[in-house]
Amino acid sequence: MSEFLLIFISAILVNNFVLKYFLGICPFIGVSDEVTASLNMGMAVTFVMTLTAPFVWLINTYILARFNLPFLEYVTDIIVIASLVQLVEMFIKKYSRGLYNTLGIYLPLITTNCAILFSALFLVLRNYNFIQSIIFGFGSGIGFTLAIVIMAGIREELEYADVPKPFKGAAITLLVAGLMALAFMGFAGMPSA
Amino acid sequence: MQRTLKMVLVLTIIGIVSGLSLALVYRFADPLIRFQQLKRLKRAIFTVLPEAKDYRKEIKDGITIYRGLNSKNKPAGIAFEVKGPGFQGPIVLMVGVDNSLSKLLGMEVLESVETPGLGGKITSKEFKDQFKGLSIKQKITYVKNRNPSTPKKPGQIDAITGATISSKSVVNMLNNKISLITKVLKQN
Amino acid sequence: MKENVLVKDTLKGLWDENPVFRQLLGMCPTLAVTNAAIFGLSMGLATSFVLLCSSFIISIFRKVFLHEVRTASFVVIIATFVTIVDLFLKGNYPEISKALGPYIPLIVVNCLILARQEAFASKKPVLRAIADALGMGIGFTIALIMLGSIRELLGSGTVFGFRILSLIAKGGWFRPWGIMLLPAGAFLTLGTMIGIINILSEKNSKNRSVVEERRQH
Repeated sequence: MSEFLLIFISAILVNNFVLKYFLGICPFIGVSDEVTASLNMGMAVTFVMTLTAPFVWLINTYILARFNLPFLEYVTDIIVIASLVQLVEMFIKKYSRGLYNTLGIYLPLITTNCAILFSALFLVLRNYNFIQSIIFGFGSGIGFTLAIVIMAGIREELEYADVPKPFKGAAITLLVAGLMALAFMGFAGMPSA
Repeated sequence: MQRTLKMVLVLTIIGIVSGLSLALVYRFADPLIRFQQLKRLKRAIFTVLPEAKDYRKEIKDGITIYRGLNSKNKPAGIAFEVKGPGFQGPIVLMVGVDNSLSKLLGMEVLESVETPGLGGKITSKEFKDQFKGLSIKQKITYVKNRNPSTPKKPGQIDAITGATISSKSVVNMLNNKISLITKVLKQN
Repeated sequence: MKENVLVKDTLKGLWDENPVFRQLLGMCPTLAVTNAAIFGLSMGLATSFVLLCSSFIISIFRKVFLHEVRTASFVVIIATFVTIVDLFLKGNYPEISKALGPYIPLIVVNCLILARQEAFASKKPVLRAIADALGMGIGFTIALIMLGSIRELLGSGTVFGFRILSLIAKGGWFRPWGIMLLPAGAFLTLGTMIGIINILSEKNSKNRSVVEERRQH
């Protein structure tokens, strides 16, 4: 049990996808100027990430590893992600209009969100088992959400700050992200599973 | 309907072409990759067993060890991998001990993601060289900020300043694995 | 006339539409692997190779792809070339492959590559697609080398492994800024560079507004 907790916490704080591995920076810079939008984007990512982890694990363990086809890993991973995103989109469009309105517009962006592919690669690299993979996927999604929501909060305040014109937008966002990364370094050393 | 069929057809063709071309490339790349891995393993073993010119791989109770052989084909120590959690992520070491399991012959870091400039110094020569000839008759210990005039106790190393946890991780994983290896080898 | 178009397609990637500094594309590898110049160079070349090959293939077969499944088709093609690069590096340059680690497979979802396919290769003839890919690839590589050199210089006192600043520990004067090698240093360096480049381009404001306009699309 404590091992699962360790994977979960370390995925959120210690090895935060955005601040440690630089994943999903494009939406981080693009979407994160409004807290609600960031939260929705984060939820969509968490949802897809939690869902892809078990599928990727099954394919890697029962097809690629069994038939010795490691070279197909990247291609199958990306196909799993693309098809799942498509399915989720169709599903919630049909059954939950409300959810579609909040998450829908972010779903097509997610296929090419590097965070999702990275979580797929990482769980293979770390030899996580089935349950660990799901927990890792979920935790990483929460960590991503945490980072972009905090960022959005800061950027909403930055609107009122007197930022030199050339540094408006991307430049100041990256500088703030740098300071956040420094702050998150305080979590390092909690033994990462 | 016809359009859907066409979509499926296009995607299938792309998939097949991609799979086949990758299989072809892999046939050429695979032996090369294996060769590189072997080269890396050999280099690590020969670094931690300075006298070894060759080695034999053995698996005992699920533990892989490499028995080094010197130029006269006589035993030149035993090498094995040590894995454990570090400060930032897993650390993997290759370690060499002498035939009587009384001292270390060398230590090499195979994998680590420790903080550059702090824990990253476990890969530095200064740190690794401390393990050469280190006695393992007792457990290895580490000391922080040792006064240069006080001599080191047997089996003691200096921790890296500012990276006690990384140093401690290395020492702990070494102790655990060494006692395990000693137990397994003494049984036989 | 025709050469002119090709030259223009290539040159725009270097500065006006530099993928990193102006379009902010491909951020993950830009930040992640640039703690040393050599890794920036390797990542830049690997990405350029994938971009060039994908643009070439996709431009040749641009009439075949169906609109609904084009992203899926592009991504599979890109993933194929990425695997080839990955196998090549593992087989010939294991040290670099190890250092770049999972960021090599992440080229698959590098938004730079997909964006060039969507915006250019899938619409334009082969030669122009190649020119564009070449320009973007070089622009990307240069940006990564610049970032890598700055971080390596301030973080370890070397550039491409050559000692530039002598370290205190070795009797010199320079104390390395450890933070430059950490994630935080990556964000701070890139943020500062984008700011500086905006200042430089402002003098060239007419040029700038064109780029801004293009970026809106």
